[in-house]
Formats: sequence, structure tokens, C-alpha cells
Amino acid sequence: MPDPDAGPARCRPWPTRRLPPGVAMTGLLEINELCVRVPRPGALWQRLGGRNPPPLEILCGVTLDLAAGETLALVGESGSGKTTLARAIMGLQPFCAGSIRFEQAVLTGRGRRRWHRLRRRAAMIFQDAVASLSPRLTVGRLVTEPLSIHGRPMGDRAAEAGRLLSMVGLSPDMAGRYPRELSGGQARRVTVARALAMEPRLVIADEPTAGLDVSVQAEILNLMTGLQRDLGVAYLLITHNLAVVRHVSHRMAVLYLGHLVEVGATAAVTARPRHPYTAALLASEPSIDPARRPAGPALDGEVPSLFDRPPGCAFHTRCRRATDLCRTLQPQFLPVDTGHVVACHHPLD
Amino acid sequence: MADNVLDIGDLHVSYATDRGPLRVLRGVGLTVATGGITGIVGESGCGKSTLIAAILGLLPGNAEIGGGSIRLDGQELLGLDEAGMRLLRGNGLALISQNPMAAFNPVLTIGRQLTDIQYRHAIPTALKRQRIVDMFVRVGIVDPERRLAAYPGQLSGGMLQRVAIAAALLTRPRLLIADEPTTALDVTLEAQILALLRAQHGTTILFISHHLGAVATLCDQVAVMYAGTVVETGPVAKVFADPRHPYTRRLIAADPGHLAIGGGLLPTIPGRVPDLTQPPSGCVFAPPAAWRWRGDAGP
Amino acid sequence: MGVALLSIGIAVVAGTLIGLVAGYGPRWLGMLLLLVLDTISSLPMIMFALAVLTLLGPGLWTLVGTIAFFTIPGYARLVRAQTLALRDSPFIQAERSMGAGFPRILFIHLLPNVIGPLLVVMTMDIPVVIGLEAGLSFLGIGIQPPTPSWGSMLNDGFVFIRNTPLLVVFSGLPIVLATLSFTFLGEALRERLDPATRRG
Repeated sequence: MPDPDAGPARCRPWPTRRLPPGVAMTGLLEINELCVRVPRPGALWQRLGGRNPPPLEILCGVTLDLAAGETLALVGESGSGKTTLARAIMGLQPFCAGSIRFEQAVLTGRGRRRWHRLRRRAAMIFQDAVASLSPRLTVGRLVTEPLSIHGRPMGDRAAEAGRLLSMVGLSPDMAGRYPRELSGGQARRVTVARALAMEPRLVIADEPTAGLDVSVQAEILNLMTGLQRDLGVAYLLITHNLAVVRHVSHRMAVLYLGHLVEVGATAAVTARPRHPYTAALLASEPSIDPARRPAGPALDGEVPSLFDRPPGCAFHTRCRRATDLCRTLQPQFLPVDTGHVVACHHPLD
Repeated sequence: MADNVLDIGDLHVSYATDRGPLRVLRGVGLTVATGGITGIVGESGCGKSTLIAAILGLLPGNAEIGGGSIRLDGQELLGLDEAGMRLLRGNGLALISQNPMAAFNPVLTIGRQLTDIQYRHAIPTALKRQRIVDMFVRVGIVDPERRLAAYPGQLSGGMLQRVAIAAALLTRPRLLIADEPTTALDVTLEAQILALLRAQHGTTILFISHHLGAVATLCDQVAVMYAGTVVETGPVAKVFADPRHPYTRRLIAADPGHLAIGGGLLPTIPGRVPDLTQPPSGCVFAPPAAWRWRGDAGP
Repeated sequence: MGVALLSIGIAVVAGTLIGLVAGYGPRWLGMLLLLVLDTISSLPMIMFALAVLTLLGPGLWTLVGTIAFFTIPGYARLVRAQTLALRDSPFIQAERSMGAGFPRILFIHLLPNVIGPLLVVMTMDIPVVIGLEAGLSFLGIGIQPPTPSWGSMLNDGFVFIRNTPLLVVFSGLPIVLATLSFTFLGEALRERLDPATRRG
């Protein structure tokens, strides 16, 4: 809804963090310098009192690109802005600066008509699968809903629903069920079927395996991998599960408190993380091998509050390598290798 | 003191349903050694939650205990009356749950609630507060004095889980039951909480999780549950490195955490967990012959 | 009875529409509608009804209109509250992300989820409105003869209450019975539609 703080006019210019040459920028999706700010709660009273508090910065200067048929994992802890970024791409979250370009078309501002094309060619899978299914509609109706929204002729609706359900490994008999009658894994499959109904080029999957048992998680991941191979769909995979990232993604981007800190090929980043935060994340992942038990936690403290964003590099409060430079100056993106960039004053070797 | 703080033998629990009794626990046997950390892993519906509820005497009304025993330091818990169970919950048993927010009353300060749980100790309030502060320091809560005045809603999830652990340890429990305490936390916080639990030397912990990595990091012993029975048990290092039961093998193989390099498809566990109103006789897992590894002995 | 059903029917349809728009539409519109609804609720109903009916003259449609006017805010507020609770829910977000338009979200996704509690309140309101209509007719400004109405029948009986009290009893009986049956219907609907009591 309209609010004065979201207007582009209020945005200060951001330090340019262009990706270096060599990183392909002719992708399916290009996000450039994206900023999302929301007014501080209670800001109205303070403004009436004559003070003008700065808005909360949820995302700051995020630049990312995604090629067709690729899986890019977006990693970060709670409050890092992962879900906000996904919502911004789908036009569900207004942004105040930067641009989103999808299949060469620039998307800015609000208004449903501008996002209509993207919403036809891209789909989002929400974190809470059961809650993202309209409770009073049947499964058959739900999976064909995108076709009906975009006026796609589908002949026999029941047959189309059956086709989509079998594509994700569900029985067409499920079409008559209601969302509350589904198990977690089944609901997840229904959301995948619905996302694929329009044969999208891009699927944004927000924690697609959260809360699932490992065997069901494996089934969902296999399903997504198989559909990518068959249909050439690109995934933006949002997750905090690094094992999943390592397993299914081609490239990964690490987000900390609204800033990207490292982007690169998954194999390269996991084998040799250059940002101390990425390294700590990787080291924190509990290993299934008891022999590789860590001596202690790799990272102390918690993610700072958005209300109290540290100056300079946002990570300096928890970083063991932080210097005075980190406390004052926000680091720029620097290439450390082909297609591997890191925003750190003192990157790891 | 007995060698085993907790000794569960041949426990049977069923729930009354429209379709007849749902046999959720079918002869569960489990021991937790004094001062040790034992993990229970298993997928949804394996009976983990029922087992915890049975230990705590909090089974729902339609549950029926079909037999077996639960002994805490040699004392039989089954058949204990409500008064005896309450005495035990405040003194012998402590629970840390998945959602620490639900464990606290949102309208009372942390300090007030942690003072209240020490009602069994006949010591002045100032001393109780000092115990809380000492415990907060032990669980790594910075600025403990200020946290006492805070309300649960003012603390982050990770901080609140630390407070919940402090609250559990304040009662000096003989057995600390940690039910998925890190599931709702981010990976860096999970590592911190696991390290914290690991550092509580001498506290006997029963750790329930579906996260194999967390169990491997924290526990000494592990019990793998499937469809109401313990299918495999032993030292973590041994069970995870050389699983003997086909279900354990499948479970470990399906976790992407064990793969160093990604790509390809993950092994899954085909089929469904059997209907527990009519459990099969013999092995519940009874995998098709094609899944069997060479050398798999029938359990 | 007919008056009650008709006026409640009008109020439910109008209230639902206003409530949906106030809950899901732009915030300024919601605020504006809320202000209008609050203004209506703050008017003293009986006094206002008496004034309107006296000014416009008694008649079926005047009566229906007046009762509907005063029952709209209740429904609109209920629907608005439900809509506000649902507007940021994941399934509405999911529909938006698929490109669903305003009418589709309103009528296919929001309406079925707010209609349950609404029907329950509606059945519970019917007896109240029957009583109101009977009261107004009793005062002589409701339904005019020769159109029969439970209220005016009761009024007619009242004249002879000393001679034949049964006339009052039997003309009052349908009001009591109708009131009770709608209350029971409302209770049954509430149990049927409440997800907490419904078997999955």
C-alpha cells in the first residue's frame, strides 16, 4: 500500500557494486542494485514529533543474475532478506531502487499489468506448502488455477489436472482432495505441479524442503532436478540447508543482513569460501560423520537486528578478522576468480 | 545411582481410533546411560513424540499403555499417580521443546518465570535470582541481569532457546529431554546450541531429532526408530559409519549431508510407512528383496 | 418473517461486498468505508428507524431498507476483519504471484473463507430482526394492513388481551418458534463450519 517512505525519491545513491566483466549478464533474470526499504514501525508518531527516522533497509544493492536452466541457491540466515528478494522478483514487494529485468523486459514500480508477463513465465513455491493452497479449492482446481488465470485453453480441466499431478508423481485421484487432507510431502508436490502448470522459465522455490523428512526431502529434490532436466526450467532456490545447496545448485549467493557477501559456483564456494561468513556457515553445518565433530561453534553471537544495523561491513560484529576498516567502510564486490565475487576487505585465501 | 538413568523396556502404546487401536509404540526398548547423551532419530510417524509423552506422563486421553516399563533411576514411572508425576517433572525430568516461545508465558518477565520454577528450593528470592544469573552465564547469555527483566517476546529465538536450556538446567534434572531443540534455528545458532548442550558435562540428555547431522554432532549413543520400534541402536560413530539395518542405511543415504559433491539423484525410501492399525508381523520395514544389501541380516 | 429474510439478505450481500473491498482494497478506501460504517453504527437505531418510517411513511420497502441499513455495518465489519486476517496469508500471496486479478482473489479465494462465520451470524440475526420488525409493526409503523405480519397480528390481539388472552399467545407463538429455530440453525451451522470441530 502506498507509503511515503517507499518512493524512489527518498533513496540515497548507493555505492556501485557492479559485477566484474566475465560474469555473464545476459541471463534470464537480472537483478540490479535492488533496494527494499520499509518504514520503521511507529515511525508515524516520531515523524509527527518532528523527528524523521530512517527506514529499515531490508535489501541493499543486491545484484544477481540467473541464466536459463540454471539453479542459483540463495543462502542466508533468518532476517537476511532471502524471502523479501523472492517477493520483490514476483512483484509482491515494492522496491525503492534498482531494477529487475526478466527476459530482457525491465520491471519497475507497482501495478499488476507490468508484472503480468513475469507471473505467466515465472512461478513461486512458498515456504509453507499447505498454507499456500487456497483452502476451499480442490487439488485439481488448484493445480489448474494458473491456466485459468491466464486464460490458457485447457480442454478438459480434469484431464489437465491429472496430467500435472502425474508429472509430480501424484495419483490423478488426488484431484478431488482438499489441501487440509494432504500430507506435507503431498502438499509440496501439489505446489510444484501448480508452479509448473504454465511451463515457466523460472521457478522461485522458498525453502522447498523445510519441515520435510529426509526421505521426502530427497524425493522433492529429485523431482525438481528431473523437471529441470526435462523442461529446462531455472530455479532460484532459497534455503538455509547447505547440504541441499551443495547437492542441487550450480551457483550460490550468500546474503547477510540484506547485503550479498559472496557469489560464485557452488563447487568453488563450498570448496574454498572466500568470505568469512560463508566459511562460518559451511563450518556450522553439522556433519553426519561423528569423527568430523567441530571443536566449537564456528560463529558466535547472532545476526544483528535490522533496527541496529552495524556501520561499515554488516558482518564485522561477528567476524574474527574484522579491522577498523571493516567497522567504517562497506566493502565492494571484488572478483577473486572467474565468476566468483566477494564483498570483504580481508577475504580468506 | 544406577548405570542407566532411563531404562525403557518393551513399551507398548496404542491410540484408540475409529479404525481400531493404532499401535504407535510396539515393544520399544531404550536405555540412557548416566551422564551420556542419547539421540533418537526417525521420520514423522515413527513414534518419537509418543515416546516422549509416555516418559513425561503426558499421553493424551485416548492412549493406552499396553505393557512394558519406564524406569527413571530404577523408579517405575508407569502407573505413577499425577502427584508423583508432577513431583518428578519439576525435579527429575526437564523438557526443552522445539518452540521455546511456547514454553514461556508471554506476559511475565523471564526473571519472574525462572524464579518461579525454583519453588521447590527453600532459599531467598535474591539467591534464586543469583542462581539464574550464574546459569545464564553458563549457557552463554550475555548481559544476564538485563535479560531477567525482559519479556519472552523481546528475545530472539536463539536467545530464548538458551533461556529454556538454562531453565531446564536450574531444576538439576536427572534426565533432560531435548525434543528437536534446534529445528527452528538457523545453522550457526544450531551449532551454538549443540555446542552448549555438549558442554553440559554430567547432564544426562535424551536428544530427539530428525536431523542426522545434529545427532552425529551431539550424541554418544543413537537409537533409530521406525514404525513404533527401535530398529537399530548403538554408539553414534558405529551406527552412522556402518549401519546394519536397511532402514538406517536408507535414511543415511537419503540425507544430502553425507555427499561431498552434489548433482545426480538422491536415494529415497520407496513405499509408505505401514498402517499401524494392522502392523505386519515380523519386520515392519520388510524391504523388497531388491533393496537388500549384501550381508543384510534380517532383524 | 419475509421482511426479516429480505432485509438480512440485502444486508449480507452489501455488507460482504463492502467488507471485502474494505479489507482487501487500498488502505485509504478501507479507512473511508470504516468511517462510514462507524457513523451508521453510532446512530440510535430505534429512534432513527422511527424517524425514517414516520417521514417516508410506513411500507414494506421502507421497512426492509431501514433494517438492512442498520445491519450492514455488522456484516461489513465481520467480513473486513476476516479479510484483513487473510490478505497476507501465503495462499493469497501465491495467487497474486500467479497473476490472479482483484475479482478472482476477492470472490474465488477470499469469499469462501469468510462466508462461514457470516452465515452463522446471519442465522443468529434473523430472530433479532423478526423481533425488531414485530416491534415496529406493533408500534404501528411497520407493515400496514391488509398485509399480514406477525407483529401487527400480535398488536391486534393486544386489544383483546383481557377477553381472549389466547389470541396474543397464539399470534406470539410463531415469533418465538421462528426465533428458536433460526437460533438452532445458527448453532448447527457454526458447529458444521468451524474447522476446529469439523472432521478432516
